[in-house]
Amino acid sequence: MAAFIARRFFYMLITLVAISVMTFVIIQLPPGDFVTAMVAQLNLQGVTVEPEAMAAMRARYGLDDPIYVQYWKWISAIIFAGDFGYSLEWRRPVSELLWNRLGLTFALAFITLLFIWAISLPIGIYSAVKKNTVGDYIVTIIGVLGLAIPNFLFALVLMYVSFRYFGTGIGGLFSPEYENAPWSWGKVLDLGQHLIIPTIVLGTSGTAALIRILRANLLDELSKPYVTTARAYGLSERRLLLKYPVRIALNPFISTVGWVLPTLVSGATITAVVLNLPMTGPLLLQALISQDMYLAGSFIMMLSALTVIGTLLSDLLLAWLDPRIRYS
Amino acid sequence: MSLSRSPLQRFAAGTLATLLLCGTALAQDFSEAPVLAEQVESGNLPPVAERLPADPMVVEPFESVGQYGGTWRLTMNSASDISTLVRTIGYENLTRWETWQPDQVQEDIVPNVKPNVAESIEIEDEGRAYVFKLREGMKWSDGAPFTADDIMFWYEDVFLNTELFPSQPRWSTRAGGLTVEKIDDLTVRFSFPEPNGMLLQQFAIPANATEPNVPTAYPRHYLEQFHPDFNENAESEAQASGAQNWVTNFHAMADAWRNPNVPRLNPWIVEVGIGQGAGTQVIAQRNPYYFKVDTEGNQLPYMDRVTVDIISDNQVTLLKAANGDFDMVDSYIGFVTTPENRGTFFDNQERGQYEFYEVLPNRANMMIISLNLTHKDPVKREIFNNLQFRQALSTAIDREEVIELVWLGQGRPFQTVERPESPLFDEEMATQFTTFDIALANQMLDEAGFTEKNGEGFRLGPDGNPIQITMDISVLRQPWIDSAELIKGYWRQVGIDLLINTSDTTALNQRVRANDHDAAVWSASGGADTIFDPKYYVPSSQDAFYATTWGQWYAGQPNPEEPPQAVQEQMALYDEIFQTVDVPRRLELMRQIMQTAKEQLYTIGVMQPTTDYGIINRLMRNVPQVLLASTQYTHPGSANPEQFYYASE
Repeated sequence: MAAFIARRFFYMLITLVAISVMTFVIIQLPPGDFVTAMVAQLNLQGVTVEPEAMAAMRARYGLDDPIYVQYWKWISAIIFAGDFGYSLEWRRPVSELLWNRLGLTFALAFITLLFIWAISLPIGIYSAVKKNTVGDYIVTIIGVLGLAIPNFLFALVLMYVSFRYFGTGIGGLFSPEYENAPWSWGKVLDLGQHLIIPTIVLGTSGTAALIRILRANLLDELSKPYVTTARAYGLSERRLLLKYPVRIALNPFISTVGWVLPTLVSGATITAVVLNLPMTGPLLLQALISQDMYLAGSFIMMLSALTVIGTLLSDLLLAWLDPRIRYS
Repeated sequence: MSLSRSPLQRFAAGTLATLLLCGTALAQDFSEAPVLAEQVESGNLPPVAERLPADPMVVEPFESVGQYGGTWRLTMNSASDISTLVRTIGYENLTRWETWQPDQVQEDIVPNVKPNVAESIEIEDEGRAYVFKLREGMKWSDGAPFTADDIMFWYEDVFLNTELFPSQPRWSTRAGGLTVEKIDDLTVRFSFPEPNGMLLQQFAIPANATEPNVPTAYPRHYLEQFHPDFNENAESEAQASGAQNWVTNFHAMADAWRNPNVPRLNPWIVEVGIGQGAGTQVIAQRNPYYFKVDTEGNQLPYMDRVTVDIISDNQVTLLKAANGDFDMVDSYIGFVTTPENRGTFFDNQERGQYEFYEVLPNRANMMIISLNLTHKDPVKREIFNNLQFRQALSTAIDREEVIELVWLGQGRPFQTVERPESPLFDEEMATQFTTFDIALANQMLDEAGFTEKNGEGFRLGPDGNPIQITMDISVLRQPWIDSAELIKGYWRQVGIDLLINTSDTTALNQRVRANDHDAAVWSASGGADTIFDPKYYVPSSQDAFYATTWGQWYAGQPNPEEPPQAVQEQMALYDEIFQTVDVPRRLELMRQIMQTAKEQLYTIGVMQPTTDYGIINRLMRNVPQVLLASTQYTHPGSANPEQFYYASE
């Protein structure tokens, strides 16, 4: 087992090194660098930056160095000092920017997960119990529609609807007056109001899969003898259903929660951009557009590291569960 | 006002008027915003008379004396969008543009300039020296005095420090380099070996960069601690705080938009900077030491706070603006008042509680096509340099149709030319080769020598290959791409094959700077922008897409190529403009430059926009109905946002 773990750790390190190199290379692939991107943005507003000033800025940020020197500067700071570098665009330490937004990102992911459950549990049970009826088809189609409609489009439509008919705050997580205000009931309510659209948009896209899983599992259970027996004893249909088959059907449901969370965190990017949510996705996108390489690089590194660590943990768990894995 | 009055006289007159107004202000008591009065009572602030300079600058309100209070809600589109902040809440330079209005007689190419932070200015020796007199008792936003020492700190320790700024800006090197000397605590003299005719206009330009390098942006008493000449531990302290070195740290500490602690002269002082707090909003509060009052002695600004939401998605900005979430949005603030959005804004006036105002965009042309006259391929170079070829292609564009279909009719079919409001406007230049005529264009191409055609009907170049032009277009503005699709069809009719290559702006810039393009599309700005950056009429920088390498030659950039005689003459004329204080002479020189541009048809202009529009909270007062906007002519800063106010309903 120890050898297995050691080997796994070794692979993990190699993977991380490979990811870090690739991340850095990919970020450098588009033409130009942070300074050209910034100057392009300034040009857009009619500001001409003198070439001497551009050269000075490049020198100051070390953009003139060969790519391996830049890579070493970046990676060595992370390894030896835990310093993820300095965002060129925001002019703040990368770590500060990231932690700022991770909280909200996870909060939204969690709320969305609850929403997905609240929707897909009843629909899944209903469509399993009323298998192949008109009602089953209707609710399943609704679930699949949520998956089929592109998130950004749905977000735009909902935003327009809320603008047109409800007049509630659009985009962002807070109304301007609460944006930087201390926490209060008003602020919580305001946040709740702003969370409705992102939760619906992100949630609907995740419900279809869970509905199918629950429906399939439940159908398996419903045909089992213990259900027939229970029914023969005269147990009420509701009690009968919720007491055993649903509980058993939930088992794989819970084991897939682990897959839902990362999809939510990464899949929310476009929605977050469209809805102007202060989450990690838009920050990464903007960093890539402006070629803010330390921010983008550290970002991708962190996400990759989390994935790799997650994989390691699940490997270890599986190895513990199933001895055959250790020797394969 | 006659044209022959020298700028010196105009300045003297302006100063006199300011002094007279100050005299009237001195005779009365000053009053202040209620929030500040409370602070004075509780002893947190000195009384208003002690906070103001001895003779505060008097701003004449546009309509009426205002009332205090309220928040000005604005939006910016990214963390890098410093321009929006500078132009709205940060426009306090030594000089400023006067508020341009349509009925104003404009003698100069650019709107008039007047003293701002400087109380008065004297021009000496034909523009070789400028004496700036500051206000007695003027203070930074933290209450520390603002004196000639602050300007000397900027000059000696920032401007001349080659680590902070390795090169000096063009406005100083063009006149042979700047020397600043302190005459007394309130007076400094800026001098140059050569005349610097445009210095005062230069200082009226907003400092759009994060590192502004302007005399009024570096408070000595605060920034000394980050400078190794004053603090020997500056380097180690910078590294301890997470910066790479003292230079990065100094720039970060002097950055008014990210460091709320740096004292400023602006009407509102940043309290939550870019990336701070939730990272989605910038907040600024009134500066209790602001040096301007209205005609009744009320200290400005009228509005208490400013909030600027950072929103990168234009659709969100559009919806929020239509919902009335912002108090001022136009093509320079928020960037969503496009022709196609006009309907949305019109329909939601009631719910959003806003009104429309007119913006003269100062855009000379929304779409100019630049064929690369300095092409690497000698065959393409020969074709593109054929003047008749360019004239024919221009004739073969149905501008009326393009404007109707793509720009919803909101433009004029003009070449690249100044706007009719400008003294440089030339009707003939505007309309030459803009009449759509396929037969004529075909005839011109035949005359130009491109008579051979291949089986598909495309004309052959001198090397026997069909003439194919690849046009690089940034995906930034969809109308460019839509127009190009139409133009492709028109040019097909005269036997020219057009390929459209869309790309990101950065990629486009890279291609053009390497001189790898056949043709490229961009817009042209005019007016004040033209005089400081005339690249559409003379290749003064590498951003002149029709002659990248000539521009690189003039600006001393990489891979330059010596331009032909006619272009070099234009460049010499442009150099002379910057040495000329005399307004009519400058106008004359600029006209000569334009004449060459007109004859050479460097670029093919498609359309000049008529007017843009903006929307404004309908309770907001003292905002002119027509505003001029451009990069160099500060919008809306020139209209004195400190005197904007909200009327009670």
